[in-house]
Amino acid sequence: MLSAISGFANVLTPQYLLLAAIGVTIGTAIGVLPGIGPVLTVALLLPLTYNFDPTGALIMFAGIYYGGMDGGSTTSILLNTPGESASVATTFEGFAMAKSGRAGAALATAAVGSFVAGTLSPILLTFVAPLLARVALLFQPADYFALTVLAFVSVTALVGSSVIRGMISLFIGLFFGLIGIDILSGQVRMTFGIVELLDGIDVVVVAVGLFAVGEALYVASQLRHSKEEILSVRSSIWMNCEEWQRSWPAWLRGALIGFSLGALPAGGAEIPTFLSYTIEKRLSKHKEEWGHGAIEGVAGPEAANNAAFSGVLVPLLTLSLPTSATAAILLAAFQIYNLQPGPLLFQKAPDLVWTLVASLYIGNMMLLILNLPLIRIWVKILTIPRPLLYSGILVFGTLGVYSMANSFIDVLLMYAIGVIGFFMRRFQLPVGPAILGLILLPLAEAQFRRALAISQGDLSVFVPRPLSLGLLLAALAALVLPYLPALAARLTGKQTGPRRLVFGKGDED
Amino acid sequence: MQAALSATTGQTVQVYNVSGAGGTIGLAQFVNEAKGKPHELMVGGLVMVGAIQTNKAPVSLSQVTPIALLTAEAEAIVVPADSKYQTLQELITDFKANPTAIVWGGGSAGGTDHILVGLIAKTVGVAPNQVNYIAYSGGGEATAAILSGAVTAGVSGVSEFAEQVAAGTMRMLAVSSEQRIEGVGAPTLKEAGVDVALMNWRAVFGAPDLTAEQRAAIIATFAKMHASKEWQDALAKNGWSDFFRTGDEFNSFLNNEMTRIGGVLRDLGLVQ
Amino acid sequence: MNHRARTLLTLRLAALAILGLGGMILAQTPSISQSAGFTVVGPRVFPIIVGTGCLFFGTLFFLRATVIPDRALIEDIIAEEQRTDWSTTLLLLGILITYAAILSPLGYVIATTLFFPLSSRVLGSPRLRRDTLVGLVISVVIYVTFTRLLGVRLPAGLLGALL
Repeated sequence: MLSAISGFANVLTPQYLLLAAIGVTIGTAIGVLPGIGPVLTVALLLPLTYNFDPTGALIMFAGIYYGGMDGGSTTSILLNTPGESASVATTFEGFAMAKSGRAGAALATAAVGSFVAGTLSPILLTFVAPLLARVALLFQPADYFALTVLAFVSVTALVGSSVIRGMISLFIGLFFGLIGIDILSGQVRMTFGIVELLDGIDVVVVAVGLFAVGEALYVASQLRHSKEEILSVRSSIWMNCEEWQRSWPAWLRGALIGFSLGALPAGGAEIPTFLSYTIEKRLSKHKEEWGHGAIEGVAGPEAANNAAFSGVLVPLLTLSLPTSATAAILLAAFQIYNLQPGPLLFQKAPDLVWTLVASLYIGNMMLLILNLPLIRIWVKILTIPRPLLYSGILVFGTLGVYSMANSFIDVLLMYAIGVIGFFMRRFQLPVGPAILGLILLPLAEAQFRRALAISQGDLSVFVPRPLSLGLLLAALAALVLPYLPALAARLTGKQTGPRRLVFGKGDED
Repeated sequence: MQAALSATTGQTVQVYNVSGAGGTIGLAQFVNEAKGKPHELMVGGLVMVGAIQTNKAPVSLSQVTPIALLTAEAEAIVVPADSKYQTLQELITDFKANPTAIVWGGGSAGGTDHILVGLIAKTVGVAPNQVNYIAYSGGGEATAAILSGAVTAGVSGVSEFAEQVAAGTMRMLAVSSEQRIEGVGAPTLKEAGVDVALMNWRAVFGAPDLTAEQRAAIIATFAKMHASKEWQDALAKNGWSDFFRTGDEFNSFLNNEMTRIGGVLRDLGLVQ
Repeated sequence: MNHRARTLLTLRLAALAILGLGGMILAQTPSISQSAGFTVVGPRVFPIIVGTGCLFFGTLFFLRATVIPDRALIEDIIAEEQRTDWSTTLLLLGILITYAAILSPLGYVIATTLFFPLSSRVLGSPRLRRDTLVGLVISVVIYVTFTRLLGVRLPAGLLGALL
């Protein structure tokens, strides 16, 4: 606890405050812009790590991440296009509110909700992470493997409208993950004789290809039919009494959902936002307003996506397990500094961890200022002509990948993956599972093989450990869960609603 | 090294990090692009010697010009503090009796740590296909695995474990250098009865096709750098030990290492 | 061929591509060398799992495109196909590949200054001269920031002497 307080003292130095401010400002800007996300931005800024101390760089990268979550809501509400995939749920009610002239209230509940969640969730992180770090010291390969299985299952079963398509996306990602030198045997796999592939495909290449390039190609293909109008913010950006009363329970529930689901290895912020949306809709006393601008439908998801960031930090810091593309790049940043996240991080570098956590509180206060009084400046960004915006995204995407190794092959590979992303969008294959498959395959495989090498081939190594068993059961539960309502309905003789629950579109980034 | 070298030469030194595949990708780029350019240098070491062979790289270290050996670090063998093994001899006895039951954890397959375990097995007469070696992607990951009790013994650079050994959570059984290391309590492998010594060395190489004069000039520059205060400070700060050797001494050392490492890797089945 | 038939064909081709991927992974697997050290699970096991998974789910996907069609998906794709402008998409892809190819020989600034207005034009921007100017400014700012401040090497190309 003492180190948590000293973290606050550290973060209040001018340098760290400035870096946090730069981070959240950049984050808000890229959050507002559709198509350019925190993955690409952090990847572009990764060279900064050679010039800064690790704490400063990580404070800034974290700011970009959760700042992006906030910025995304502006675009969702005013443009009906999510600026970030984690803001998809916000478009439903947010845009409806804006159309009926209540854009100000929608933006306000999003900003204050993010602030509330952004303040509560680091408190949870402060208490949960050290506990988990202590448990994590006992984690053995079998447990890690069970954890990755849980991640694979939950992201494919809970996200997207079709399990088959989710699994296909996952296996495409797993294939990308196979490419390169196998860490355990040192043997080369699936490189087709290309030297550049020896080290595997970088997550930046895949994420930028699938998201930025795929999106640009998609926009080009739909050019003849796209019309976008930006709704203006006429009303003042504040809420009336009733709106406050309806917002705060949604914020609290959203924060709790966001943090807990973010902390489970289920692929970041998208599932919690949809879950929060669904729950608010069920609990609402104003069912008639849904679809026409119910404020809870903005308050809940926006609190959830912000809280999810603190949640994602839990497995990243304590288990070294990245559960989203951005988290994978944060992990790379840690490793550049020769810092290995995991149970030992809390002993080896407590200052860094707690300063980073403290920066989340401070950064959230900054975001509140950026998003309430200054919102009109961000709305201006949306007036950049689309063709220039997408050309710019392609320039930055190419730059991000090219600057990693000055490699022509990497850039071509990214474009090729962009084409795959274009077709995945077309055939409604969710992109999230592919990214998670790529990130986690090497981990899952290595831990599985290590577990069996340690047990000298005894498969029961996965059973007697309560931890592994529990995690594998949770994976099974995630697989079955979406079908439960339909099953219950059939048992009671009623035939209602869709066959399975759906928690998201699956374009997590 | 960047700072020390630029202080010696009075020029700015640019560093390009070409990561990947144990340095093989960097070497391939270097051989293709730097040919005959005396101002381009490359740093490589034992890891690269191994990686070139395991990755079936189309290039080799014999294509570049050896300049100077710079540093070397000894490897350490550790066990968690609550392990039943107090000495290396006890560990080796069990290793010979039931080889696969001893799980070795260390860095990437074919890297220095793996090579050391291979050399030990060969020396004490354990068949390579009985060596249960588990590769981790880095020292940090390996440390966590050792502490969790997942592996029997851990192998990595001495500095990687120093903190844990000082904190009493790990016990160092042996180091791989020829002589004991100051400030480290553990005996050398040779003292513990295993006739193996292995240093994880790093050296600097010049571009392919340099003239003898060019090579001599670069060696002179590095001799100057080696004597500089900046370099000695950098060694102390990073905990590297000095291993400065140039010219023929370096050449014959390099050839010996290439033969020895190639042999171990073939035994371990990493190179066909 | 009408829209419907063409859309169904592309969907089936996509499913076949997944099957092809699975087949290719399995075909590549025997060329992975097995290490001679003690190994319980070798480097070929996961490629086999991934390849088999691709074949399995590819088959299911193919069935949903043929025998038991996924009507909602097919209607969506048909609607999208009618809105799709293939020539623009291919043109943009061509420009991108050219951009990557000229980055190193012409240098970052020249290549980007050429790419930006062309790509914007293809994406529907009518003002070529303004876009060229924007492209020039962006590329110079990026070049200077990255090479001078971040210490990242970008190709200078033809302007090598100047920059």
